[in-house]
Amino acid sequence: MAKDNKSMSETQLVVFDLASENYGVDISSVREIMRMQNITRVPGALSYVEGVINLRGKVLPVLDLRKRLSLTVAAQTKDSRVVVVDIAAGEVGVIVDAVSEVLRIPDSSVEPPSSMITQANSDYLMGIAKLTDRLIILLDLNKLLSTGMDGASLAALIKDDSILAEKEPELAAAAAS
Amino acid sequence: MSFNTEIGPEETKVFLEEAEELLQLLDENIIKLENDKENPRTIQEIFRAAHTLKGSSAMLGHQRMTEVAHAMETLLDKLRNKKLELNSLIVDALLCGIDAIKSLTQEVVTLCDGQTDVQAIVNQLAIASEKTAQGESPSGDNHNAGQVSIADQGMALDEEAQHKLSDAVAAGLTAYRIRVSILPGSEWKAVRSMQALGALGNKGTVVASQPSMAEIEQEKAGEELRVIFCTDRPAEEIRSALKSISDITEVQVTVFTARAGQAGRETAGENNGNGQAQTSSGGQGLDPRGAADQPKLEGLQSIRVDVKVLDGLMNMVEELVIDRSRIGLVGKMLEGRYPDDDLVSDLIGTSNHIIKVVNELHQDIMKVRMVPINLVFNKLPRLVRDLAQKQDKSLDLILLGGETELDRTIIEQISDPLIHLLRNAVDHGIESPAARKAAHKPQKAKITLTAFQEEGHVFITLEDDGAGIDPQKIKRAAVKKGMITQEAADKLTENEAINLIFAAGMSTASQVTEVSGRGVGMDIVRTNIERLNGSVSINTELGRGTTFTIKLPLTLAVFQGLMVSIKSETYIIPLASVLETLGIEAESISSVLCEEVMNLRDEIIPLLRLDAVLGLSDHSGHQGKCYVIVVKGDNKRVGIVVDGLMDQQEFVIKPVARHIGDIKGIAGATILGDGQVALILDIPVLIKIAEKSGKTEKKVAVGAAR
Repeated sequence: MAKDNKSMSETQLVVFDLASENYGVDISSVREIMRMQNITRVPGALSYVEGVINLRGKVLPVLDLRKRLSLTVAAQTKDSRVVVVDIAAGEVGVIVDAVSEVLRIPDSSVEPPSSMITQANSDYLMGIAKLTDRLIILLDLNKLLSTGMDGASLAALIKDDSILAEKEPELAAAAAS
Repeated sequence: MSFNTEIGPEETKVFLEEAEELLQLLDENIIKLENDKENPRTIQEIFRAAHTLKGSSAMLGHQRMTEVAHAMETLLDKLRNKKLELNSLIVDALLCGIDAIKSLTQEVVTLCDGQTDVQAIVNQLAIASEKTAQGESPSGDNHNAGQVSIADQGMALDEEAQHKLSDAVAAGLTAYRIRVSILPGSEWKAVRSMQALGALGNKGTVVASQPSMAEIEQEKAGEELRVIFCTDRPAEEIRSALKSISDITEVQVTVFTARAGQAGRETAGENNGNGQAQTSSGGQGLDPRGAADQPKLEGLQSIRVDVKVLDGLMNMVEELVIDRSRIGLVGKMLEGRYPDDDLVSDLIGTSNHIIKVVNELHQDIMKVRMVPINLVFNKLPRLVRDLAQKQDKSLDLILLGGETELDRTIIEQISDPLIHLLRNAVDHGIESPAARKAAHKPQKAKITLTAFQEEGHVFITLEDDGAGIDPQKIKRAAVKKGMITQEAADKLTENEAINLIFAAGMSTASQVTEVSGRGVGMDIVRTNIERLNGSVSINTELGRGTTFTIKLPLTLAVFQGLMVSIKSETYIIPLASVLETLGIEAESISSVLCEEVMNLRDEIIPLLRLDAVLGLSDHSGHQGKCYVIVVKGDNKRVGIVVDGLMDQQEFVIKPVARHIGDIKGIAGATILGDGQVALILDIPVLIKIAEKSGKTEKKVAVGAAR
């Protein structure tokens, strides 16, 4: 037992598929996993927000993780799932292609993303878990869901009326048609 | 920090709850006292509250709070014993004391020493109690020593009467307390009173009466005669004997226990006109009697429940309400599929019962959440007093209908708008005393706040007798601020001009003061009220005053809504904002300056396409039949074009997470019977969005404010 603490500690992940890659989130933030159901669109929501669903009497926002990660958009299949996660802003559902397993990985297998990732807005990546047969991309959902597509803070976005102003010509055009 | 560390968090919580209540009580009562100096009951209540605060703060080991409470108690004790005359110096000192204690209670939470200068407050209280004590004669100490008053009767028994009473009780007679009401219009009140006393004299011994025999002989009889009477006859006999006297409308006979007679309480303030009652209310022996004044435990039929528990219950019941609809729906579908199955009819019977119980449960839990609006009202006298004093204005605040009940969430959210309106009334509405004098108005202004329930809504009116609002002044201010053009201003009716005060950025106060005039207020007031599904209207007369009327739903959790379909989506429109619905042919929509409008009984109503306003994709023009829902909001009337009308029913409102984008025009969501989520439209905001986009600006002006 001469190993140090770092290699002893482990993280339990919920692993899911997205565009034939493996992603993982900390199991402690996952509330439940649901089958797909009808989603009600919410006008004015962020582009990657699919809408809201009924989670046992609660209205739950649902995001399309493919859109959020700028992956190619694919049709939902019977394997598609909504993973309900608890983040700082509240509970949200994220749509994934399929949920594959719950996995325990040693923290020592995780490498920080900076060396491998060149993309600018990648702070939602916590790291990459290198397992013997594959790689699992670890997501920090808090960062993923609280930061806009262009990196602008969502809080600022909500406060900023200029979004509406931008829509104005569009709306006026729509009205004229 | 000098707190007793052995006090657990649970005790601290109890202390804080209690302290908050006591402080509120103190606040109210001290203001009350200022207007009604002679009320010994109020003084007693204040004293008791201060005393309790002293005790519980000492228990907590909060020495500085104990010091303040003690100083207040000392001052109040002098007031109570008539060693001091109430004056504004004392009231100010007491209010300062309360404020100090308020900030000191915060220390219990933060567990660090605050900035409160306890010594200064204690000194102020001491000065107030010393200064005014000078020159007071130590009179009224002994001469009424033997007097005892009768609880709730405002009647004092002198020594002779007490002897009479105790002798009679010793002789085995029963003592009764009798109240005789004499016809208000009677010209023979004295005669009837004497007749009554005479009739009683035939059946037993009159121990005391109010008015007394001597007073009646001096024609001092009123509409009410109160008697303490000893007899061996049954109460019914006494009652009928009294009833037989003409002009006597009502007779109340209750047993008067000797114990109550000896331990009588201080008299109620209602009998101030009576000399006897006054002398008996001061003096000694109050402390041992204090206990008799405490409400009896068995009288308390209520318990304290944490609001969180209540909210949790409410949430669960709401989920049940949603499932209720779902069960009903599934039951019906099953019945259609298996019409002859016994098991299905059994299921439907059971589900009907569940539906009924859930409905009742829902009703009850809503009732539990209803609280009297007094919770808000009670804070106001202090606020108005401080404000008026700061501005050297003199005014009366009259609060009516404080017992009117509203849902807790509404009470919480109506407080700020109401305070804002009230501040405005004091700040802008009420003129300076000099101006009032010049206008031949009473120097003391009057603000009346009334709450009442009508037609399933609660109305709150705020009426002042101040200067009123000048529409010209509003127009000038609006033009100056660039909110509207001069031409537009000229076209406005008076009513429309006055309603401009609700526009953002509007203020007519020539000077920005600490309290108002920054031009953010009224806009927010209206937005907040409309967010509660309520509305606010204004009625003003120059030189005579202004009345604001706020209309609120009884509850927020559930509302009546209209289900409509737009494209393939379902939306809910709150019925509160719906004026009417019309089925029209798409061809009858005409267009003015490229904007869609329709002609409704010779009135041009601008039309709103939700898909366009909300930015839904694909908004091709409608063909064939569609529906127009005429709504009001933001003081405008607009028609909303929808594809279909579905149903009108009760909906449970659920919040939609705000962190998913810039969602405007959606007030919330609800869950339909089939488990689907439908969005609830926020009509006032939708109209604003449409207006902002330039689309409906001209049209809205056409259909504006009626």
